[in-house]
Amino acid sequence: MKSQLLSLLKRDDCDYIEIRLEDTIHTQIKLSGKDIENVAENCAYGGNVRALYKGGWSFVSFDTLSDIEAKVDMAVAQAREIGNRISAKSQLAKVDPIVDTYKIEPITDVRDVPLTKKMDTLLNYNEIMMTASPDIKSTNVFYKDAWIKQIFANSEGTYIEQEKMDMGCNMYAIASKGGRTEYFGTSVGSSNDWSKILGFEKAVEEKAKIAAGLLTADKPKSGNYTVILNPKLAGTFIHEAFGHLSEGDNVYENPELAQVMSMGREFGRPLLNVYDTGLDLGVRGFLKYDDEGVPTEKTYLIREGKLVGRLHSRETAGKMGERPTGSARAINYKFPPIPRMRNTCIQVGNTDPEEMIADVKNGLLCVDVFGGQTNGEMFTFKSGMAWKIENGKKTEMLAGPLLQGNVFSTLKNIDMVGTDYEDPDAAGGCGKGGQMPLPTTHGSPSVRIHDVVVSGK
Amino acid sequence: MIEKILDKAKKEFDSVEVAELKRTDTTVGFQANVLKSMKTTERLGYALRAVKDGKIAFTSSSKPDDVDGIIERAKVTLKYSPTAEMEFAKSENYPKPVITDPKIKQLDAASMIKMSGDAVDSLCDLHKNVKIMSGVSTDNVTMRIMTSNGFDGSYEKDDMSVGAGAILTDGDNFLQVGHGLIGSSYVGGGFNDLISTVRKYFTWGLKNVPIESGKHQVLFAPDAVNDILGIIQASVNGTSVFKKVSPFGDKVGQQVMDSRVSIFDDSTVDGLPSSMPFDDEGTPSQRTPIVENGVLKGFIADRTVAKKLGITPTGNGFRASGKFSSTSEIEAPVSTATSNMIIEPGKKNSDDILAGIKNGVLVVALMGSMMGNPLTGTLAGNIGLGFVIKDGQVTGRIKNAMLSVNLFEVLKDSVVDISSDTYVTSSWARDINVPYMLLDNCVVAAK
Repeated sequence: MKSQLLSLLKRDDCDYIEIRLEDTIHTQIKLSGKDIENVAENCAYGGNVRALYKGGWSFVSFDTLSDIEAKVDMAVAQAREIGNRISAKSQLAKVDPIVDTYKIEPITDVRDVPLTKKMDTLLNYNEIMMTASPDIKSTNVFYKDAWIKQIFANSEGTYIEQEKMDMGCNMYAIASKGGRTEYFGTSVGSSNDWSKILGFEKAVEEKAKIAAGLLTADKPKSGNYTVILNPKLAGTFIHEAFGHLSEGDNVYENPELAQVMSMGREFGRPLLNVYDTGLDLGVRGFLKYDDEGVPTEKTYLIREGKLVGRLHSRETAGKMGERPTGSARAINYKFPPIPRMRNTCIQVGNTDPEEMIADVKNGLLCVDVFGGQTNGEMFTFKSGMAWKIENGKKTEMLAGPLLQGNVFSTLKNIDMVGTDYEDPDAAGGCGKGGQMPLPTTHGSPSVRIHDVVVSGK
Repeated sequence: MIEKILDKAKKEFDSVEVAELKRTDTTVGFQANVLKSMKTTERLGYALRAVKDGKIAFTSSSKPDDVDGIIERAKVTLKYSPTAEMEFAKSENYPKPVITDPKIKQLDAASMIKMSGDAVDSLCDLHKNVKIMSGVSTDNVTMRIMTSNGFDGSYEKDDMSVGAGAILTDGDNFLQVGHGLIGSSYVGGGFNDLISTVRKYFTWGLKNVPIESGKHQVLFAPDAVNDILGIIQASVNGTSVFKKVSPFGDKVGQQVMDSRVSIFDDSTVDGLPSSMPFDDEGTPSQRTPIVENGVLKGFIADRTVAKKLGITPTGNGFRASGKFSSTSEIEAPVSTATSNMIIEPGKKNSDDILAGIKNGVLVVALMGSMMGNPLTGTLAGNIGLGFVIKDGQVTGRIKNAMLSVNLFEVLKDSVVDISSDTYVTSSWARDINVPYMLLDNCVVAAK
């Protein structure tokens, strides 16, 4: 395969060309209340060719590999059609060619776990949630695992065979009474150990009871609050609030934004450190090589409150004269790689989370997360539930509010970073440019933020 | 290969359904005012649903000649598969909406590049630092479904979309506006409207104005009406009704909305993006009344959910919830989802409605509205793009504000007006053809 692919890529009619082939087997399971909604083992098999000529890109993806030479010709022809019209200089950051075979060494391989065991584990959690309270009327248990074999080759001599494993599961209980419905749950994920999913019996029971409890919980009054985010919510917060804006493709063709996002600019107080890393073995955001064959790394985005880095593909790095960071990712062979996050983290701080509440007169402790979204400057994220904080004390349990912020003010309002760092994983992942879900992780300790707009009642 | 899978699977299972999805799409794109890329994807995949011992297994593959693999995986998963509630489609007549267009087929790379470039040329004078992005896509889909009950149907579909957007970074103030056209027919005729809509939003967005927190009259533009329908569809989806979590579950025949509101799910309209002769399990397409003159008429249901509810399937069995979500491919299981959601137009043009607003807000794009629990009826999100209206005029853009609306209350008691003009738009979740809607008593929380 190696010599065949590398010889296909020896072209003098384009500036750069690459091939990525993938063979994936994935298992999907969905339980809903008393029903098994879906159990499937699917096979996704295909590849793509991406070519660059005079600054113009072409991307051709396909399920049928038998005429791969024709696909290479097509990609080159399309890149030339584009490149000949723009006649720009192709700029890719230089990287050393790599020839490597990367095999993962899973602690528990998803392929070694029989379907029976996967089902029994999930059915048990489902049953525990369904019986945790008479108000639990349904559940939503979503499980997905994948084993991926990937081959990447480019015209610079890089040839990488890479294995990837991915597993994620969300377990939610749905409580319903008197026309009101609330839900709550927990999640898990891993890139090297199926057995991470074991041992959630107590956790799912507790979460189901919280869901039932939320049926009588009030919503916070809409307004501005001091909020404390628990690690799970703070992780999503930093992903939305800063991670996306750090992706090089927002900046590299927008000089005005590049100026706004110039290195050294102050985004937070000195206690704030943010990084994105592909090196955390075991989390879903772990990655050996990105989808351009570039080794991943730990990239600091904010150090002591100041902007120090961003997430690059070879093109965005090349055009900005910065270093590629191994952040070019695609959800699968059907899509081209674009700058994405891996495991995005707020670095552990030194405040005991209990201390964060002490001097808050009227605030919210927001717990867990139902998602987030950003448009670069403004962002919003939904917390799973909240506690009212009055005069330094946790008082009433509240239904989870929607929070919003602005990247230029909200990060500066973080005045405490906790000691309780966690990097919880979940099923699903990040969406961008029509590519969803990409396995990403967020890690963070609890953080305290002043003056956050909260939408409640 | 579809016949091969059907023949072999018939021998192993009691009844079977095989789908073959073939798709070729081409996209050209301009980024930051310059031509950037061209993308072609070719998909060919197979899905099998197979019933034995009262269970229904599902599997898929995009591997050529994976007939044995498909059947083997279906056998492995059968033991844990859902109980087979329904029967696969039988041979029957289905409608034939016009969903192919020679004008789409004739679009070559050069003409797509030209159209996309024309959008950049028409918009680049908006501001000296404006970055225009634009794109044109065409998509050709062939779907074939065969069942052991004698259904053998196929259709071909052409889709086209054109989109344009403008980005301005003015220090720490970002402005991003965009608009798109989509259909299963040539949509290039709407090009001038596309350009003028982007121009309008951009020009309005150059000035930021404050807004007071509190209850406001809000004019929802079609893209924001899509967010409204996102909340409503959760409650009219037969799955929620069957699970007894839909607040509409026991309200058929009751007045749930203002009498001027009528909502349909309709996959039979010529040229709309989610029109087709039959759904992904061979059920004929239809126009399903959901709300008529404010009265709840019924729910949408795939074959499984319809059987559980004791109703007729409505032709809403689709692979995943939206055709542009990356999972809406052959590997997604069939579930109940909307086709084209349609809100019937009102009497007054949207420009006249806007001109009649004394104090209000125009919301074009909401962020984060899909993160809440839609069954509560609450639509909440950050106003990603929205404007203040004073005395019938847009005075500027609203920023850092959140909108929160209880739709079950507001659509019943606080509908002010519905526009006579309607627009076909699409999000990652659904395709719609809807008017502007002016609703009162919408809560805005501002910084």
